Amino acid sequence: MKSYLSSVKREFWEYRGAFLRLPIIAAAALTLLMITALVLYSTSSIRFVLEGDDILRQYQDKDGIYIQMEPGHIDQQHFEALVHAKEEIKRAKQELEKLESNPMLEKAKQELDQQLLSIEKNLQMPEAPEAPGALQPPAPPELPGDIDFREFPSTTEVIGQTDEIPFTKENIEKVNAFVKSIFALFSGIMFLVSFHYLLNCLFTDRKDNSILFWKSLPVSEAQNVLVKFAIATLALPFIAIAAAFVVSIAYAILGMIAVAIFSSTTTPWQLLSGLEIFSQSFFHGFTMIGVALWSAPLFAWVLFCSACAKRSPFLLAVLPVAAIALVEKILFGSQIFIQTVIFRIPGVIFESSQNGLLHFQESNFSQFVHFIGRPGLWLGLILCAGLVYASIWLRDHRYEVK
Amino acid sequence: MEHIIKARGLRKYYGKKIALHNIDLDIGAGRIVGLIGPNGAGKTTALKGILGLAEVDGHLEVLGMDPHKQRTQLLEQVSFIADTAILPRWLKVNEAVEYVAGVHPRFNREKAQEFLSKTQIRRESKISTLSKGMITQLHLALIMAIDSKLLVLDEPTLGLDIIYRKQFYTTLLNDYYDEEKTILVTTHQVEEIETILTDLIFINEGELILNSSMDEIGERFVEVHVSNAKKEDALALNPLSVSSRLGGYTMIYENGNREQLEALGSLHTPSISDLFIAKIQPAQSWGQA
Repeated sequence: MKSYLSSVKREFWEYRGAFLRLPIIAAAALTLLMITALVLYSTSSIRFVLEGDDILRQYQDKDGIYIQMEPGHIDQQHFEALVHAKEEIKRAKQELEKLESNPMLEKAKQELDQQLLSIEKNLQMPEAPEAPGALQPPAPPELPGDIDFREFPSTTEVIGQTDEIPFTKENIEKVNAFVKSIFALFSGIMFLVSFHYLLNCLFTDRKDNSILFWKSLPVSEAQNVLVKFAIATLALPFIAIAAAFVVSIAYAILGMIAVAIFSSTTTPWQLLSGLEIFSQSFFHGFTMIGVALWSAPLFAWVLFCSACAKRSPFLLAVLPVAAIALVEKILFGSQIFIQTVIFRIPGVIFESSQNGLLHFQESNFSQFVHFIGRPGLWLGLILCAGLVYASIWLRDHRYEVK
Repeated sequence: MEHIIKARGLRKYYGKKIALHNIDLDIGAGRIVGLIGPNGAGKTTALKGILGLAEVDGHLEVLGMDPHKQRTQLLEQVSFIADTAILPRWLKVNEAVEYVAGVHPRFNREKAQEFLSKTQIRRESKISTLSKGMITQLHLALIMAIDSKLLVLDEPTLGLDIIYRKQFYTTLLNDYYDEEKTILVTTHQVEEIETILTDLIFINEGELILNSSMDEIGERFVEVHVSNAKKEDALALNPLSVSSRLGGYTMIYENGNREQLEALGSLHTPSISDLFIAKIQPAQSWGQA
């Protein structure tokens, strides 16, 4: 046990920068940004940039459409704009129908459906809202970071429009969505760290020959490899949750301060009671375990490449996959292999709502149970076990870089 | 004699290249054994086999264990320094001590700290900031604080300056070695270890060509300084090697008759390096005559 603890410590010493400093710096930077934003807003220095409504109004003027308006407040100009939007939506739908169906598309359609509903409500027209629409293109799912920053102005709407917008369910949902995206952002960062770590962890010591020092101590390669794998798949995601939790708390405090200063209708305690930071970290933890299990074969593949590579673990990890995908495409014209691989990438799972895959946005316990029963999961885990075993074997028998 | 290392018919081939060829070897407790051979003779392969770092064919027991199958268990009692400066560069000195203390049940942290306090090494330093000599000192401090039964050193002083080299073996003898411990060392700097060895093994092209204690070597091999006049008489007694020296020849004899040899000139104990050359390259030594 003591020995395992030392092995874990060793990894954190070696990758101190990526495991600890990076999330701390990212959390500090994000918190600082939020504080700066609040201060600048309070001093009216950057009212325009911060106030989400301004940006949205710009949107309206330019494109003539905006979905979130009170029913009954539609003037002629807006009415035309919305009708125009509907036309756009129909054309967009036709475009989408031409494409092959895939989970991302379905997700986009769902989002657009919701927007369409909103438009219908605004137009107060009894037409059946069936067509998905395209008000604005859906954000690329792999980049939670981008999503966050784009959402930042619109979430400060709560701060900016305290007099007009009361404390409603919708508004607090926006705030919680922002909290959610903080978790997604940090998980995304730490998954990148995980892959970087797995690529290097069984390679650098072979390259600089320090493996002979590690091998001069009574630590089995099985222990070595398993500790590294567990750090990449479990420890790092939970560091991400811890960092995101801290930032969320900071966000909550700043939000409460803002509400206390600027809102006449909402109290800080209302905001606090509406926030779901604890339950979100809890369920995000579940999601992370699910992601770790689902993506385990991919992680194990990278680990294996690290143990196997003579020159570049990265190329070893990527080239065979690309080659197989290419051959499949040429011979059969299909993309089954690459699709299968892509579905195992953590960033893809959390935006994909297809086929009962676990995703970051709406995870809960029953979904987790449903997910555990999937045969694809278990096939992946068997593959993962094989790759981890192969990595251990390589460390025992073929560790020299020549 | 308690066997620390026991090998029978040890073999290893890399394709057609022979690394080890039917080696039988016994090393007992409390010995300091020098394993000497030219580059590519099979030294490293033999050491790797003993340390369980590579598989070798034949029967091999180290402390009664199979080194490759029971490597982790074996390494609780066997230490090694494989080459200088292989400590990972990102590691800090105090982390190195903490790690070894964490994973090694026979490591004495106080002892390691004591060794380190005698050096210039600062605890907070990263290994990448230490000089090569300091890295070796650190490695030695870690290894000597382990109460192991067998210590394997593979070119431990390679690339060190004279002061560190001298210090290395002095420290080892004074602060580590006792009758319970066995040291197996390979090096090209044979003169450094000449005085501390109890046993000598020569290996060439995968085969043992000499395996005896230093006491036996003094009895078995004689170096005679022969004058020019007695050259023919000396050659008639089949010397192992002949090399010219000022005003005559130096000839090394194996199992020669001492009385006969005394008549040829003064008798000496050959140095390990001369003996090594005599045993490994007899033909070429002849050529110089």
